[in-house]
Amino acid sequence: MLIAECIGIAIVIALIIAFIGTSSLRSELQSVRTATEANIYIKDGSFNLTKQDDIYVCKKVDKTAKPKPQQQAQR
Amino acid sequence: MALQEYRCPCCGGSIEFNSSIGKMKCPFCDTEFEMDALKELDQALEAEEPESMKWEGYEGQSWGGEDMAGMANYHCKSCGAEIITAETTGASACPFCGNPVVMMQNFAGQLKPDFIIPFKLDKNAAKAAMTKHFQGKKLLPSAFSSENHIDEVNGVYVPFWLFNSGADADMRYKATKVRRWSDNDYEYKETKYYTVVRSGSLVYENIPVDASKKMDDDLMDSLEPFKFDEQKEFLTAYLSGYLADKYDVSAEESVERANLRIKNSTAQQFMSTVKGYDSVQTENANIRLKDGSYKYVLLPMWILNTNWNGQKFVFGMNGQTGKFVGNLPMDKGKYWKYFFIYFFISFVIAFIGAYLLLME
Repeated sequence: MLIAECIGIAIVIALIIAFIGTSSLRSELQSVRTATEANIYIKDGSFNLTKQDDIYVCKKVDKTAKPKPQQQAQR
Repeated sequence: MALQEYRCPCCGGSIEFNSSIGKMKCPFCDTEFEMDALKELDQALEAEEPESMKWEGYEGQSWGGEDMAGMANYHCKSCGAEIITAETTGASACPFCGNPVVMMQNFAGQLKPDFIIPFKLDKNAAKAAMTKHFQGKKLLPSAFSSENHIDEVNGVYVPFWLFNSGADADMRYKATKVRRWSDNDYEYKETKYYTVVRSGSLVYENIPVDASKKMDDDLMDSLEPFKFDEQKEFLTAYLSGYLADKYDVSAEESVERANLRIKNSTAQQFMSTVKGYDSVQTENANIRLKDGSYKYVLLPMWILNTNWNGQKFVFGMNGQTGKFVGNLPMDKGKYWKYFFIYFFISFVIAFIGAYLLLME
């Protein structure tokens, strides 16, 4: 049972790592992309903030009851 | 159609721009020419009347408007060949005698480029960059690099619009801070809500948008950036030895792409000033451009074409900085080989790790 559990966990982790690894190798082949931003064309020192307000609006508190030790024992 | 060939006054050979020395040079007698001298020559040549040699007596079929749409013909002054080419081509080499030519007529009536960035890297550098581009790509089919023969390598001056603009922005965000704690009976989650306001401005300089329909927009985008501090006053002499296009996408048509980039970057810049929150959402973004202007420029690109397995691959190199881009094919066999290698190694490590953890 322990071995089966370990195999299951290892398969899931190995599939994820294999997918990420090969995706990284695939991305090496793609170097042509649409430019969607212009950060490198912002003139040095031109960014000027004239207004900077952080206004607190409200707060909300959610509380969740902790499971009782008795209830755990019954389960 | 008027052609401009620069002839060496010493030996009569066709001279061309040499990217390594930044001057015109005669490849036959190695004489070098200053660009300023050629500027004066340009001015004198512009004053010349176009050649006219009309023949009469033959009434053949004439080209209809539709036949000639997008085409232009010219005579090579060196060998007399008549060439038909796209009317947007501004410079080329005669395919019969190889003489570099500049088609002055194709630039007439259009905007003169405000400036040009000359080529700094030659064809050999482009080929070397392509070989380097193939290296270290584990999923690239071996046959692609070993059997690959570049069909065409062309140095092209690509027309671009450069957009300059200021941007004023008023941004409003909804942000939250979350705090959690617990006592004996309950777990608490406190969420504080904030309205975050940012206003300000920034300035964009030289956002390039390619102005040629023939060039793939994504390929051109990927070859950025250029060093615009190395720009030169436009002289047709720079075009000698290279292909050159004139714009066929207007600034008005191109501005949409520049606007999108400005909008996204402005939003990113202002968002980067909203700090210390657990979540931030943009509620309102008001971005206004001001003092917008644009320039027409020619930028240097090496374009390399090749075919493999019936598929066309186009690569590009920035003729100034040497940045090389181009999508490559994938070997599916190699993909699955690496997938199983990664899977096997990860599986062994994960199995041992899981076994040791569950044993404790």
